[in-house]
Amino acid sequence: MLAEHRLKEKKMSYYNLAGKTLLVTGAETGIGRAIAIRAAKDGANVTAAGINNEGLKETLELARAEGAEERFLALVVDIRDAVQVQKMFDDTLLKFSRLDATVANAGVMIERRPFIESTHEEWHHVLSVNLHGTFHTLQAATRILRKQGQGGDLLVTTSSNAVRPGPQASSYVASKGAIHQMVRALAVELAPEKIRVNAIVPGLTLTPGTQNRPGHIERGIKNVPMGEIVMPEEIAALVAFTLSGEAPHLTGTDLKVDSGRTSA
Amino acid sequence: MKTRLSGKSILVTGGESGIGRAIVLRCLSEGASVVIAGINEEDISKTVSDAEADGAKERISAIVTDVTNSEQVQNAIDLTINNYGRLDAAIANAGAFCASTPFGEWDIDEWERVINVNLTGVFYVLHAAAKVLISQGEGGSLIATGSSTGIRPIPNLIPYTSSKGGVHQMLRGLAVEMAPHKIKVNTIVPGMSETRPVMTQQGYVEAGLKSVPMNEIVKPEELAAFVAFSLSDEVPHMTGTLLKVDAGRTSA
Repeated sequence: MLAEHRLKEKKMSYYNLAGKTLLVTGAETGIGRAIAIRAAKDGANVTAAGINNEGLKETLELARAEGAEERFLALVVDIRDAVQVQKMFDDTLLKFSRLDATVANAGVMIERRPFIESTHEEWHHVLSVNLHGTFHTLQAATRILRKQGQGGDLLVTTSSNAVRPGPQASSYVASKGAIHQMVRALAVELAPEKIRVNAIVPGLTLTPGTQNRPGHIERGIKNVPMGEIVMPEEIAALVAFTLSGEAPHLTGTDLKVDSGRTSA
Repeated sequence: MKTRLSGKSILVTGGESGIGRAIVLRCLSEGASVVIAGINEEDISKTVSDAEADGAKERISAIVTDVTNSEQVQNAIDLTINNYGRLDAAIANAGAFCASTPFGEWDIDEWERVINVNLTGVFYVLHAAAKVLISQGEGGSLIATGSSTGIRPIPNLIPYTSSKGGVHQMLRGLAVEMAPHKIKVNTIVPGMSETRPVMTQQGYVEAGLKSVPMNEIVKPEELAAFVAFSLSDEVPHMTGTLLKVDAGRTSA
């Protein structure tokens, strides 16, 4: 079921991101960690932000193992707090002097439960992280990119659930649908400034978040035509391609790796 | 960069010019073997000699192919296997454009010409290629060139936008159907791109750019870079994806 055997060639240093500074939220685990490490391997300066310090330390260790420690800044940040988000960007500029790309990746998943049993607390919690936190992150990043006046990249991790919802996760689906459409609107609004805005659309992906939920992968894989789970490294590779500058007019695109989930 | 696609054997229809040519040259530069199935002999010669000048003589072949003729399409597939031993990807890129015409004024023959090349031609190519990929049993890629007008139509181009809309949905269906065979199926979605049909139609670019948020033309090389990435072994689960580079056209 897993893909590792089909990720034949681990040519993970293909794109040259040297000199670029990338900020990734939710970098303490899963897709965010894979993006941060891949970008570091490709030569970028990386700010890895996360709410879980233990996980961030592990991410930092992985960067160190790649010899990227000098180009790697780990920051504990709660993106629900706009003040902390601003400080995260201030610290990034202090260390790396510029910003080229921001990946608003931090998000929460929830336990599945029927709509009528979901609570207001859960609704507000999910939206405060996935929607408000993403807004804080993108707005602060946009201010910097605009000031620099050289374009740049904004990426947002949405979900294949934003395109094809699964049941019993209405607050999660709503939050991901909202940021998915926010990406599209920002792609249009920021295009004149050559700021590119793209959505990362993972299918069912092998992360601690999906692995730690009993039955989640077994249930979900039934809706995946290829019958295989997506590896975080695949998504990280697609992000590296996007940041490479090989396609300067790539904006408003769904960067989708989902084993066909949203096609069926 | 020089080896990511080495060992792969790729057929590109319409590979003699525009986006197809860019894909051919990009795949060669990454080590693939490539067959151009094209219809314009002058453009074929030029692209082949450019590839040879880049040192890819052993890895480039070409065959004159009308994609509306299924026998000729089969010949192109056969040539690929004959020359390079296998097929890893087929890129059904050959397409026909048409002159801007109000709906009531279309010549029925023009409708049929465009549908035959853009929709039936894609079917012939992917159909023949899928048989090979399935029998090889090692996955592979099927790609076709759609259009941003397949998502967001331009007026007065009904045969073209209809054909491209058909391509988009054909590939979505194929992504699902081919998934159990581990065959990736993805659609190239160019925005207004720097190709001959676009650049030579009077006033087309000026009018079209007004609906492009970034207000710039897309280069064929950008699409070729995305295609090469999708063909690589770094993303075995990237299927049913739109390889869209459109400067924001379909977002607005």
